Order: sequence, then structure tokens, then C-alpha cells
Amino acid sequence: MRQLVVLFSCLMVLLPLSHVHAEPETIVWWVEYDWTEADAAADSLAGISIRKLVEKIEDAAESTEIELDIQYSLDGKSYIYSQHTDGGTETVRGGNGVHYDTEVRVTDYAIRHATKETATAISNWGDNKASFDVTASASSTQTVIIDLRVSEYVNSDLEIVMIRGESSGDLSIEGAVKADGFIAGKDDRIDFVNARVDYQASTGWSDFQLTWIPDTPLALYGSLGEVQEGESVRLECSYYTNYNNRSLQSCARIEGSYSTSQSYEVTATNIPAGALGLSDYWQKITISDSFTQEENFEANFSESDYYHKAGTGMLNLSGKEREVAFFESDVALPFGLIPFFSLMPLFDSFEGTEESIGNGTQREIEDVQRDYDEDKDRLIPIIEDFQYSTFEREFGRMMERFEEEEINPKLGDYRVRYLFVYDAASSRFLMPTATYAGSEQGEFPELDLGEEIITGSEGHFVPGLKSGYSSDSGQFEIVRLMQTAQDIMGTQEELDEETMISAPSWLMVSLLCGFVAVLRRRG
Amino acid sequence: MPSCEDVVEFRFWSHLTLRLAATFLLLFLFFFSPLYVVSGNGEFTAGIPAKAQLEAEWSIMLTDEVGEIEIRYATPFIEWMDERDTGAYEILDEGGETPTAALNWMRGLLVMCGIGTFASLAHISTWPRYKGPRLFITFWLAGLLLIMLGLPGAIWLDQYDALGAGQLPVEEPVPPREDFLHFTIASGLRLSWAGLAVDFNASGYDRALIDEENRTAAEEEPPGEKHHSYIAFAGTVTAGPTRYFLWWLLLPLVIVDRLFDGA
Repeated sequence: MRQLVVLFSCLMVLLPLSHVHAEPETIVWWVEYDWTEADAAADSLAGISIRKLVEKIEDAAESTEIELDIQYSLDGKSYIYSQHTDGGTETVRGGNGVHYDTEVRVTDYAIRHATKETATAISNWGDNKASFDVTASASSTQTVIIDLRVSEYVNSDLEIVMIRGESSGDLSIEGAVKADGFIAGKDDRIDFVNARVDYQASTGWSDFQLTWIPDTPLALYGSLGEVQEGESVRLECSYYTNYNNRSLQSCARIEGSYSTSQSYEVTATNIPAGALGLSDYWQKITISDSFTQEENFEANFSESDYYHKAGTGMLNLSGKEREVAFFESDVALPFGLIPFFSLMPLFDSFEGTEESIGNGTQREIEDVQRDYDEDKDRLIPIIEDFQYSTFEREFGRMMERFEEEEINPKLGDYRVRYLFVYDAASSRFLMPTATYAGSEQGEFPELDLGEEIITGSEGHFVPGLKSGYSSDSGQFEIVRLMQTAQDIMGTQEELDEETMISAPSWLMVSLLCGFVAVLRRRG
Repeated sequence: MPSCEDVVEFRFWSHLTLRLAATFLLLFLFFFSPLYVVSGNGEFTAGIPAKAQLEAEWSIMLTDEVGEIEIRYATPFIEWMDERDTGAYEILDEGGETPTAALNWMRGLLVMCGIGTFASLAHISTWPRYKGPRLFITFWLAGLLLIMLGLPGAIWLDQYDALGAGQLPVEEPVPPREDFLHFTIASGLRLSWAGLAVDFNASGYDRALIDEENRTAAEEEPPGEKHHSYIAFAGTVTAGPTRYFLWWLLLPLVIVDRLFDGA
């Protein structure tokens, strides 16, 4: 959680400020990505795609006795929306104890992401010692829902007196792995009939509140407006140093609170329990847990950052051309993604569990290996049958054939620069940009995402990527209301096979109909 | 216009069809549901897995048995499994099929009772008053006894070797002595709505959590309840017919008019 606070604080320092004298206005910038285009994008950018990989694996299998048919699909959408609005005026107490009349500048972020991957593999092989014929399928849905509001309190001298952040979010993954078929040795056989493992895990937080108060009001925006191209502004807490041209004290006090919740559930149904050392009748095993935590925190901000003015450009907003500057920063992430990545430390609370599960798994594997060495007869003889069969040789041939296939991604050396667009007229950061520069050998195409975002794109450079900005908050509200994977992907919830009426139930319904018919006839 | 004979015939067949359909429906509902269930639930009250909750259910169906296990608040339980030295004792349970010979006999008898109740309706028109439902009721009562006593008896017979002489099929679960040192259990048998119930409090020292060099000493002297190998579990095991037993209990309603006919 400490990392979260620090990274959150970094974000706050980078956040846009409104010029107290600027006209009230709403600015929305957005980036959307359609994951159905991901394969095409990877193909056009790097010359490699999952479809091509699957084809090559299938081709490699074709040259052996192993039959393999793989189907793969990826669907989903990502939305990163930011909205700047003016939040009125307020008197706040600064870190130096002085009360300031401030204008409140509100920046809302709505981050929504949902992807669903499905894969099916049909595979069979056999010789006189061992064989298998398995149809396996897997699906997985990842969902990210993050809301973040940052309110900046800026005095009449364009100094940051206080920044307040509020956030809630939820990260979840759910999916299933299903298998039908059999694995057989000479005398033993393991059958999979509607065997499946369902899993679900989520972590979320709510009521995350953070207050960042610099010891003295921070004149960051005034400084940014004054530096020339090639110069930098540096924030430093502990000491004052002549870094290039300008350096600012940014010591601050941070305090806040949050509550988090995590949960997981794994359910195995129709598993071949006998083969796993359990009694055959164990058909369903469920493991679940959930945690909640509420914390208050208090810290001193002592990080340092720099902003390097990399260039200038023109931006057309609400029909008005305005000059903007590009700043590079220590934090090489677009604004919208900073909270996303900064929230990864929330998984800290899982670390103990992950570690224990990981260690446990490793120990179990070692135990199995030891048992196998000590007493092979007690273990599943099928493994031995496969070892004596020609499977390993066939599989080796398949892998050799696969390696012979030419898979040469066109990725050469490339450089990514993350920039922030700074509007000098209103003294605010407007949006992040990224620029990819290809190598001189240059098979990787040069892209200027910065240009895409500033001019608004429709996937010209990267298939599936759209971006833009406007002064209309309608679309922002639509995105903010998305709360489920179905909302985000724009799909209807699929009818779960388990909710369908089963065959015996149909018989029941028929009997009831017959019963009613007899009654009616009697009447 | 239908003749008087036609009307009588029609009513007779309507009644019979109605009874047969209702009986078939009730038997269908009963036989395609769990017939008998042994379930257990409890919570670890001390030791590494404390607060983890276990729930297990073993249902006897018409053709097979189905088991379900659920572990809630599972993280402490996983940590416990992780810490255990599984080489501390011999694995006793090899898994695989469980013996069900007696249970299969009992299932067969129960199905015969069901067929008997159904078939006895065919002669309902010839039943003499007062004595008529006797055959139907006989089959029904036989089924009732099989469910209440026959099925648990069959489970006991099948599990006899595993449980040991003198133990009931709903006896509290006793782990192998090799796993838990100084294992103690306090239990009480009672009747509940679900059938027979055993409440128990068990505790012991997990041999797999004790260092190898200290195991011999721990076998002689308990390391004390503050030792991290001390595990306690409290729970309840119940055995009895399922709620679908109601379908069997409702069967006499099919001939309720004949039961009191002329009384």
C-alpha cells in the first residue's frame, strides 16, 4: 500500500492545474482500444500475430502423428477517459498554516477495460502403449473498473496549496477450463466427462482518500510557463539544487484512508478424482476466501521529479487554436495509466498467499517426484506408459518442425517517449502523448502517437486505437456508467449452459403437461 | 350422446390414469434426486488453519454417489497444507472406488418398492373396500423402512472395515492416529430434523508440523496448546434422508380417497 500512496502522490504532483484566470471550460480527452484488432495490430506493427503462431503450431503438428486443431479468439475494449472541469472556489489551510482563497480544479478519470479470451484445442494421438483424445477449452475475462477524482486547490499566484484525491476501483478475472476426452495407458485410463475448473478472483478498493499538502505552496505551473525549450523544472524535497535551470521545493504531508476487499473462488467439477488420489465420488470441490481491510495512512512526500520541455505545437480546442508545450517527465506513463499501474501494489496483500501457494505447489511437486522415485508402482502407471511410448519422440519432432518455421518479429530497436501536453494559456496539463521512434535498421514502423492523440485518431496508425479530445462530457458519462464486462464490451450476457433446462427437467415438464391434460379431460 | 357405460368407463380410466401419472411423477421426482445424504460442516478453532470452514456433503443417488467439498476462508487452510511436512507419515488413503455392494442391494430393493406401489394401482378397481390399499401401503412402508434404516445400514456395512467394529456410519471423523498426536474428541449424538447428528470437538498435534527430531518426544508428551502444531476443529456430522424424501411421503395421497372410502 505504501507504493500506492507514493505513486498516487507522484500522480498528484503531475496533475494539471487550471489558470485561475482562465475561462471555465470542460476538456475531455480519451483513448479507446478495440481488442478484436489486437492481432491485426500486432501483425502490422511487428509482423507477428497469434493467428500466425497457431497456424505454425498446427502445421508443425501436421508433420507428425499428433492431430491438433486450435481455435483462439480475443474480444474486448479499453477506455481511458479524463475530464477537466472547474470546481468553484474554496478557502483552504496550507501546509504553512496560512489560509488561502483557492480555485478548485477537478480532474475525473474513468478507466474501463474488459477482455475475453477463448481457446479450444482438439488433440489426439496414440500408439500401442499410450493414447489420448482430448477436447479442451478455456475462457478468461479480465475486467478493470477504476474511478479517480483529483481536486487541485490553486491560489491566485498559481501555486498549489493542496491536492485531494478520491478513488474506487475493482480488478477482476474469471474464467473456466473445460475438458472432455481420455488419456489412456496400456491398462489404465482417465476419462474426462464435462470436467471443468471455474475460477474467479477480484480485488477492489473504495473510499480511497488522500490529501497532499506541500509545506509551502508549490509554484510548479508558473515555473513550467517560464522555461524555454530544452530546459527543465525539477521538484525536490530535501535540498535545493541548480538542476539545469529551475528547481522547486516540494516537501509535502500526505494523509488518507482506504478500504480494500479481495476474494477468490476456484471450483472443480467432474474432475477425475480417482486419478488424483481422492475417492471417485468427489465430483465438486470449491475453495474460496475473501478479505476486507480498512486503513488510515500518513506520510511525508519526499520524492523528486523533473519536467523537461521537449517542444511546442498547436492544438485546436473548441474551435480555438492554442499553443501547447510538450513536457517529458520522470514518470514515463500517461496520466490515465498512472493510477492503473500504481494500484498494482494492492496485490501486496495477496503476496503472502501467492508465496505460500507457490511454495506449497513446489513442495507438492517435489513430494510427488520423491514418491515417484521411491515407489513408482503407487503412482499413475499412465505416466510410465507415455514415457515408453513414441509420444515424446513425436512431440520432439513437432517442436523441431515448429522451430524451423520462420517467426521473425520485425521488432528492432525502438524508443518510446512519454510526453505531457501543457497548455500555457490556462497553465494546465491537458493530456499525455507517446512517441515511438523506430530503429535505423527500421523494420519497426515509426509512429507518432502524440500526433494521433492531439489530432484525434481513428486507428490509422495502430489498428483498433482511437483517441481524441472535446469539450463535450457526454461520452465521458457513458463510459463512467459502465460497471460490468458486458457493459464495457458491449455484449449481452451469454446464456450459461447450466441455466438451461436439463433433459430430466424436460421430462418433468412433459409429465406435468400430461397431468394437467388428464385433469382437464376429466373435467 | 355417450351411453351410461361409456361414462363409467371414461371415469374409471380417468381415475386410473390420474393415479398412475401422479405416482409416476412422485417416484420420478424421488428417484432422480439424492436419496440419502451424509453431510459435515465445521470450523478450525485453533492452530494455523483457524477460521477456515469446511463443508462436505456425500449424497447417495439412484445409480451412484456424489461428493462435494467446500472450503471457505480457505487461505489459512492452504497455508496449513503448505507448512505440513507430508513425509511425516504414510499416506493411508489411496483414493479410488469405495465399496458399495450393500448399498446397491438397498437401491435395488427401493426401486422394487417403487415399482410395487406403481403396479399395485393397476388392480385398484378390484380392490375390496377397506382392504384395497393394503398392497400399496405395504410397498410404501417397506420403502420407508429401507430409506430410514436400510440405507444407513448399507453404508455401515460397506464402510465396516474402514470404520471399525462398533462404529456407526455417522460416527465423527477420526483422522489416522499417525497424523495427529494426542488426538482427543468429545462428541454427542442427537436426533435432528435432518436425521442423526453428531456434534464434536476435536483437537490434536499435527505430526507433520513438528520437527522431525522432536516427534518422538511429542509422541510421549504433548507440546502444549500454544505449540504451532496444535489444531482444533469443531463441527457437526449429520446423516439422514434428503428433503426429496417428501415425494415418497406424499405417495399415499394418490389413494387417499380409497383409504377412507366407506369408512
